[in-house]
Amino acid sequence: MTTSMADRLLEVEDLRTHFRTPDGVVRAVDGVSFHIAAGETLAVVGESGCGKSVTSMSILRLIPEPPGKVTGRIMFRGRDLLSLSEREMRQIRGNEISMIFQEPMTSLNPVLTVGRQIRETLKLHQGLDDRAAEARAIEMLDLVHIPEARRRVKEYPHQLSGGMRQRVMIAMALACNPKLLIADEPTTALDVTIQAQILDLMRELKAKVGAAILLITHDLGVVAEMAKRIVVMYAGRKVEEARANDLFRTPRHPYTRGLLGAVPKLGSSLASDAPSRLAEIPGIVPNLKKPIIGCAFASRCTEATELCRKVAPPIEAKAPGHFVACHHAAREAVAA
Amino acid sequence: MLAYVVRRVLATIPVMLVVAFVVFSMLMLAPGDPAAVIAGDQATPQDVERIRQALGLDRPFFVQFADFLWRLVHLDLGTSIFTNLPVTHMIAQRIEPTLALMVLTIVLAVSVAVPLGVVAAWKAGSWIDRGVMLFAVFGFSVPVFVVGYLLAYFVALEWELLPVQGYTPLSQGFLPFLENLILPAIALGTVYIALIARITRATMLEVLAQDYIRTARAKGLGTRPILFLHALKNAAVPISTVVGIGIALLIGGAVVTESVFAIPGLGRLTVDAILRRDYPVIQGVVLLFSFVYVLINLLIDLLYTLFDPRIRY
Amino acid sequence: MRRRDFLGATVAGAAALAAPAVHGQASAARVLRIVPQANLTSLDPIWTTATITRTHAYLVYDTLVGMDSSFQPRPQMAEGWTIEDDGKVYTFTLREGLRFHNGEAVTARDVVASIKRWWARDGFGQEIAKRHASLVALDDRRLRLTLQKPFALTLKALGKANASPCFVMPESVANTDPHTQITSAIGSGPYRFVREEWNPGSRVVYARFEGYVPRQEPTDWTAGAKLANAERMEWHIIPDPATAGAALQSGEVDFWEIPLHDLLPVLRRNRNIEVVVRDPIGSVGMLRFNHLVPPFDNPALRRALMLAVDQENYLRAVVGDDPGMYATSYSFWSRGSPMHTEEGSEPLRVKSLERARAALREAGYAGQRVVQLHASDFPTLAALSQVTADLLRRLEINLEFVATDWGTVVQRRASREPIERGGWNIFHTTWSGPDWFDPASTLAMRANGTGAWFGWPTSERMEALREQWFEAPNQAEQKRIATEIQREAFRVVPHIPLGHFLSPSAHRRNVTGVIKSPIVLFYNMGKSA
Repeated sequence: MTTSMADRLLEVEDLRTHFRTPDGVVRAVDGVSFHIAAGETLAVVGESGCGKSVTSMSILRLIPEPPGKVTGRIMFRGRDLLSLSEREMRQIRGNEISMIFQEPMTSLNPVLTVGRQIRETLKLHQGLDDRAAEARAIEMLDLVHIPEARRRVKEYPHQLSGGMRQRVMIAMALACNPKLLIADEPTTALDVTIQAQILDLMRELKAKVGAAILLITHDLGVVAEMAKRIVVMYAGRKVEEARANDLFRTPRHPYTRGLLGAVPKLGSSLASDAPSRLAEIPGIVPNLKKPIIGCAFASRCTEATELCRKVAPPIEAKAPGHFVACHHAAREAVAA
Repeated sequence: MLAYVVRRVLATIPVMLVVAFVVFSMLMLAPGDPAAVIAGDQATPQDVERIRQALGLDRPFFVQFADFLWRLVHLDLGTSIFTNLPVTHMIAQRIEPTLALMVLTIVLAVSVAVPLGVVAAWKAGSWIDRGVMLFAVFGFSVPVFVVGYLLAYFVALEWELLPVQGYTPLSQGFLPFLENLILPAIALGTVYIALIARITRATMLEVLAQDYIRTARAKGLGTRPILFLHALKNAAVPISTVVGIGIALLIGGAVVTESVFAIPGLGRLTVDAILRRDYPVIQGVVLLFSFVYVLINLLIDLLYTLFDPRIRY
Repeated sequence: MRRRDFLGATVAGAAALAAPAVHGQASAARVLRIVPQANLTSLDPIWTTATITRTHAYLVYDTLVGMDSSFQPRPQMAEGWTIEDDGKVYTFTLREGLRFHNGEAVTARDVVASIKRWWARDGFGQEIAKRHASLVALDDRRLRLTLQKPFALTLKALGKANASPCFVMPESVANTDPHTQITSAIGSGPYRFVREEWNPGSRVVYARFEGYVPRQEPTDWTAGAKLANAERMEWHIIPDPATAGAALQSGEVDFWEIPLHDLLPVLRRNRNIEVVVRDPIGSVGMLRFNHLVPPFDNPALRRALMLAVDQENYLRAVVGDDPGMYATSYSFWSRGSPMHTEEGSEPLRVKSLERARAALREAGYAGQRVVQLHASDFPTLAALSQVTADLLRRLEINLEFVATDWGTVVQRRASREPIERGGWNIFHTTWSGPDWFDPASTLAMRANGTGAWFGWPTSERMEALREQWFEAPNQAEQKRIATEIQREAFRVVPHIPLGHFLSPSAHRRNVTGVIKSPIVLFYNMGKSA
C-alpha cells in the first residue's frame, strides 16, 4: 500500500448501484472498491457502459432513488456519504466535492449568465454577498484563463466556445476550493488542441488548489498524462488496479491488454492523429440485467477456461500495488 | 428590437384589413335581417322594408363595405343599429369586465397550473403526478358552463359564500369586484389550467433530463432553485407560447362564462349582437378581438427574449 | 357564514375595502331589481313593436288615454274629453301639472305630434288616421280631433295597450320620421330613464320621477294612479335562465318576469319566493302558413292539416304537464276578449291523423316538399315547431326542417319566393293575448294578400267583415261580426291557433304592488323593508 488509511480522502467500499427497470434489475456498478488520497489523481477507465460514470454519480449521490439503489460505503473525510441526509449532502456537493462533465456544450444552463452560475455556488456554500461573489467569479474566470473575464461574466453560455465553456465549468467546480474534483470525461467532447489546453489547465489548477481528482475517462492518452493510479472497470466491476506506469508496462488482465492494444505509444496520443480511444475488443458486453456467473469478461476472453465461466475471480494483489481479478493472471513474487 | 416591434405592428394592418373584409362579407352573406328583428313580430312587411331603407341596408354590398372602410380609416366603428349608441361607446362599456375576467383567469391559471405542472414533472409517476394529469383530463373534457353551474350551485347557492352572478366594477372596491369574479375565473380557468399544467409537465420532464440540471444538482442546489429557476426558465418559452395560444381559447370561453354568470362583457355583447344581426357591433368586436389577439402574440414573442437570451429580434 | 362576510374573513383586515358593499345594502330596500323577459335594445316604442321596449315605455312615457281591466278607455293624461257632433269631434283637456323629465310642461302640441307619429305606424292608429279631418292643439292644454265620420273605437285606439300604444313624447322628438329611431327617452311617465347607467344587454336603470303627479283613482292597468313605489328600478338582463333562477333564490334580484317553465317547481319550493300568474290571459301560439307558394297555397291542404292538430300536445310541449298553466282555445280571438268564441271550430277539435291523411289525399297532396322554419334559440317557439314537425312526418309529408336562429327566421319569413328560391311554407310564433283581442289589434288576421302580415293570406270576405267591424255601433254587433270573421278564418285558415299558455312571474316575498294584467307594467311595484 502506498498510502496509509489516514491519508485517504475518499474510500469507496463494495459500492453497488442497481437500477430497477420493468424488465429486471440493472447492476450498473456491482461491488467496486477503491480509494483516493488527498491531492492524488486517480483515473477510472473502461468502455462506455462499464459503470464508471455511474460510480462517480453514486459518490455525489446524484443517482435518482428510485429507480436506483446505492449500497456499500463511501467514506469521505471520515463520513459515510451514503448515510447523510439530502440536506447534508447538498452542503458537500459543489463545495467539498465538485464535478465537471463531459458535455460542456450542454452542462451549463443556457438561460443564465455565466457569472450567475458561478456566483450561485459561492453564495450557497461560502455565504458571499452578490458583490463579493461577483468579484470572486471574475477572479475564477481569470484563473481559468478566460480573457476579459469582467465582460464574460455577463455573457450567456451560447456566446462562448466549447473550450471556454469547459473552462467555465472548471472555474465553477473549483470556486469553493473543493477537496475532491470528479472529472467525468472532461475533454472527450473537445477538439484535440483544446483537449491539451484543458488538461494543462487542470494540472495547473490542481497544483494551485491542491484538490484530489477522480478522473473518469476512456481515453488512455489522457490517463497517461494525468493519473498516478488507474482503476480499470468492466461490466460494473473493478478488474484491475495499478500505478499508471505498472499498468501501461505490464497490464495483467486480458481486458486491460485488449484496451491497450490500440494505443500506439505512451504519451504520444495527443500529438498524433492516431486514435487515442480504447481498442475494439471482439464480442459484446454481457447483459447487466442478469447476475453474471463467473468472470464477466469470460465470453470475450481468448484465454478463458471452464473455471473462468463458473467462478468469479477475486481481486488479488499480483504485484505490489497491482490488483487484478483474473484466474490466469501471473503472480509476481510479491515482496510484501 | 424597436424596429422589429414597429414592423410587427405595421404587419397587423393588412391582417386587420383581411379580417375586416372577411367579417363584413360573412355578415352580409349570412342569413338574417336586422330590420326584421327591429320591427318585431307585430310589424308589417312594409314597415320592415321601410326600416331597412332607413338603415341603408338595401344598398349594394360594395357601397356598404366602402362606407364601412371609410369610417374605419377614421377610427369610427359606426353606431349600433339597435341602440343607436356608438359602437366604441358600447365596447368601452363592456371592456372592463372582460379584461378583468381574462386577466384574473390568466393570473389564476398560470399561478396554479405552472406549479402543478412543475411538481407533476418533478414527481413524475407519483400519485401527485397522476392526480394532476387526472385533473387535466377533467379540465379538458368538462365544458365551461358545467363547471360554472356546479360552482354557482354549491359555492353561491348552497354555501352562500359568493354571489351567483353579476359584476361589480373595480371602482366600487377591490373586494366586491373580486367576489363577483372569482367563480367565473375558476370556471373559465379550468380548461386553461389543464392546458398549461400539461404543457408545463411535458416541458419540465424534458428540461429536467438535461445536463445542466445535473450540473445544478452537482453544485449542491436545493430542489426549489433547481425546479423554479434552472428548469422553469428553460421551460418558459413553450409554456408562454401555450399561454398565448390559450388566450384564443379564453375568448371563446369568456362568451359562455359571461352568459352563465351574467357578466356584462364583450363576449355577451358579441352573442347578443350576432343574434340580433347588429352588424356594426359585430364588426367592431371582431376587429377588436383580432387586434388584441395579434397584439398578444407580439407580446409573447417579445416575452421570449426575456426568458431565453438566445432569442433576438 | 353569509356571503358578504366570506372574503372579508378570508382577507384579514380588508374590512375597509368592503365598505361600499355595506352602503349598497342600506339602500337595497328602495331599489327594485328586475330580470325582464328580454334585453332592452331599442328605446323607441313606435319604431319597434318589441314587447320589452313597450314595457320600458310604460315606465318612461304616459298616454293620453289608458285602458282599465274591463278593456274600457279611461282618461290618463287627459283630465277628460268631450265628444260632439255625433261622435265626430273629440276635444281632450290635459291634466294640470304634467311635466316631462327635462322639466318642461307637457302641452297639447306635444300630444298632437305624438299621435301623428303613432298613427303613421300603428295599424289601429291608421284606422283613425284615414278617418280624420284634422288634429290640432287648441291651446296649451286642449287638443281637438275632428273626424270625417264617426268612429266608435277612437278612444279605444288611443288607449290601446298592446303592440305600439300611443305614448306621448315632446314635440321635437315626436316630429322624427316614424321609420327612424328616436334616441331620446324623455317622457312624462312615473320613472326617469337613467341614460348614463344604460348598458344594453346588461343593465337598464330607472329613477323615480319626482315631478310625476299620479291620478287619484286606484291603479287599474294603464288607467288610474301610476305610482313609483321603488325609488330606483334596475333591470338586470340575465340571459341564462338557470343563472336568473339562482340569482332570485339568493336574493340578488327581486323579480323575474318570465322564468323558464322547467324551473318553476324549484322556485315554488323556496319559502322566500312567490310564483304568481301576473298575466291571466297568457300567450297564444300560432302555426303560420305561407299562402303564396305551393303546396299550402291550397286552402284544402291547410284545412286538412288543421284536422290533425291537437292543441294539448303543443301546450304541454311548452309548459310541461301542469294543467293550470295552459288552456286550449279553439278560436282566432284570444281568451279574455269579448270577441272570444269557439263557433265554427269543429275542424280544430277533430284531432285525428287518419282524417287528416284522408283529407290531404283528397286535397291532392302528392309529396311536394314543405319547408318549415325552426328557431332553436327560443325554447317556446322551438317546442311548438318540434310538435308540428313530428305531426308532418307522421302525416308522411315531405318535410324540409330548417333549424336556425330567430334572426334568420325573421329574415327568411319575409321572402315571398317559391321554396326553391329560399321561400318557406310554415313557421311558428307566439303572441300576447291582447294581440289577438279583436280585428283592430290582430295583425295576423289581416287577409289583404301582399299587404298582410307574413304569410300573406287573401280573403276579400275577411277584409270586408273587418271594415264592418270598425263601423259597428256597439259590442254586440262587434261580437257578431267577429264571429263571422272567425267562421271565414276556419275556411281560409290564415294560421292554426295552438292555444293559450301562462307564463308566471316569480318574485321575492317582500315585493309589493305587482299589477296583474296582460300588459307588462312595472310601475307600482316596490319592496317592503
